[in-house]
Amino acid sequence: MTSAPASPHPGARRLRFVVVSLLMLLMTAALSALAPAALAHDALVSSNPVAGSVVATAPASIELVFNQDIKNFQPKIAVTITGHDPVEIVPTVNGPRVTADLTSVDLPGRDSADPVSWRVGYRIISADGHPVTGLLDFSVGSGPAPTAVIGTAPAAGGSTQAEPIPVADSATVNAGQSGDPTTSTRWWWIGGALVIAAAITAIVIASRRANSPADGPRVGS
Amino acid sequence: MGESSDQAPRRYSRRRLLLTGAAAAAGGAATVAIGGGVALAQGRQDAAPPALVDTATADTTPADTAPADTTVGVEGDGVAAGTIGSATVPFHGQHQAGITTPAQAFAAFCAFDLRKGVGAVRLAKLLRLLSDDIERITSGRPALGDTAPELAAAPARVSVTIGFGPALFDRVGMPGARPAGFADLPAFPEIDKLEDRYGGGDLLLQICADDPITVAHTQRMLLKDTRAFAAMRWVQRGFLRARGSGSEGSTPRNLMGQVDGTVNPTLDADVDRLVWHPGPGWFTGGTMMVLRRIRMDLNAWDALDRSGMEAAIGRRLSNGAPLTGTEEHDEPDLTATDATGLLAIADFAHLRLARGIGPPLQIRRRPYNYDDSPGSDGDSDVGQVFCSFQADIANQFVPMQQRLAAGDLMNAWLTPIGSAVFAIPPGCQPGGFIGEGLLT
Repeated sequence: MTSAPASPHPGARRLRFVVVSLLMLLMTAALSALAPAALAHDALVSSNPVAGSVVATAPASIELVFNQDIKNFQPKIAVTITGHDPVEIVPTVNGPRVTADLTSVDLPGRDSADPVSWRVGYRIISADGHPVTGLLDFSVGSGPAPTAVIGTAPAAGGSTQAEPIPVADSATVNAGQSGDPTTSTRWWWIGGALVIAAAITAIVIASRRANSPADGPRVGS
Repeated sequence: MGESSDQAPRRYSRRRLLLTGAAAAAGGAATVAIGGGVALAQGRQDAAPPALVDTATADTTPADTAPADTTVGVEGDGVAAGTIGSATVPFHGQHQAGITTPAQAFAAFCAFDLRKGVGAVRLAKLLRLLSDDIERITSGRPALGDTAPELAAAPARVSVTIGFGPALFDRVGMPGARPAGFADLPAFPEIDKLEDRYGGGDLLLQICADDPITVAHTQRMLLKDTRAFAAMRWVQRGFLRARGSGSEGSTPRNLMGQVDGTVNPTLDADVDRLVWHPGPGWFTGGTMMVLRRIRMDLNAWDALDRSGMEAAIGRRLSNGAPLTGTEEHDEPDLTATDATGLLAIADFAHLRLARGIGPPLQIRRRPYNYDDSPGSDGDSDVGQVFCSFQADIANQFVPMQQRLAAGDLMNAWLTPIGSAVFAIPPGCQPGGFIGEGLLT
């Protein structure tokens, strides 16, 4: 694709320009698709108890670890044991670590003899000032892990939801969380990019045919 | 206005009759009285239409001003009836205009400091002048001595609201007349980064209209009146959506994109209780204005995802509905929890803190946007000229601002850089002037 000074076909040059432009657009779109992951603010890295796990006895504390420091600005955790009202707890913050001591908290349903699901909701402010809200579920008690969590059961059945969820999407959560919205957005981008790529290919082919009456292809000659 | 000049006073009377009933009866005669008194006081040329029989015609005409018959020219440049430009807001009334008046699209808040030696007598003179010209301008007629009367042809709902700063009462030797509870705001050290250039002032003129030319020209005319009595201290200009480009009566959005001003008293009983000073005394029917210039860090705000923005506000960006509702005016449920088990409207949400606990002490919010970019850092200088009216600043505004200063997550992106308060005197009837209760 050297810019031959004597390119005899301005139409071909124009086509080349269009193709290059569209490819650049396509690359931009592809990068945008990856951007949400790169820009993700605070995200939960790990927790104790682990999301989706089954623990034998009710935990004495809940620990959440994020991928960056947490501001000590109105951090909140809510523990909901299936069949009971949520209990709000103000956790302590230490760097990326957020800990809620449950020993002195009145948690209805904590001493349940039957296996029971716990849900931990959190709302924290990341070091860059962004509010991050999310939840995770685990089960307490021996025997088979209960499937019923608060509200309807998550699609995965394992009742794991450790991704930060946007507050505005809480209605979605109520209706049954079915995957990370960020991920689905990404798939839309990638799908869109593939459609654009197909369209470009079609345009290129069509243009070649239109520009090449008899003497063969010229693009890139 | 599309009507001949000699019809204007009669039409004005009719409108006032509709609005204030019997009080309008004396309208015509009173207008004459104002014109005469004011013109004598100032010694200016008369530019009023003949129908006003303004005695000011007897006064000398300065050589550098236009000939008297300005209304003819105005008629030629007239604005067609029924348009945005032709609409007017009555000046006279129990309360001043520009408070409960649905916000016009453009505003200029002009603060002045009284010149040395200006006491009660000269202040009264100034207020007579201003009231007279405001009455003319707001009814679509040029101010006295307007050298560009064509610019006054489109009133565009112009209103001018006069206010007094806390220090004015001392300056004119009437500290006892300062309304109870009216004082500069306390400091809010958690958030304030106040700059002198946007604070204080003895006298305020809030000029609002649906046309920026009308605002500018009104400011020019009133500055002419004021110049000898007071020096301009600052001007803050603001804008909303142009009239007609949004749906009429909808809550405006600020430059962050939020629907801003949903909770505003609208029922007469609420306005009476929350906005107008109950009296007794000269301030009965007045109100108090808080004006805060609030810079927005839009770059940092833009780094936030939409759900974070909504959590910070407690409302949805799409339509301003509280996070517990679906429509803008749905009553927020401050105790509701969402799927996480946490309060759906977070403790740090602006909505929750602005509202407070207990019976809501609302204020009448009338904010404007500003964009003075570039700022001193070479980046955007964008924000809000927050303006609110309340019967009692100490009881209504201060507690709310203290809650917000302490806990509002929005403080991460908002910085108050200017602060001023003004006592807004009650309105006046034809023949009177704004502030007459204080100064006569």
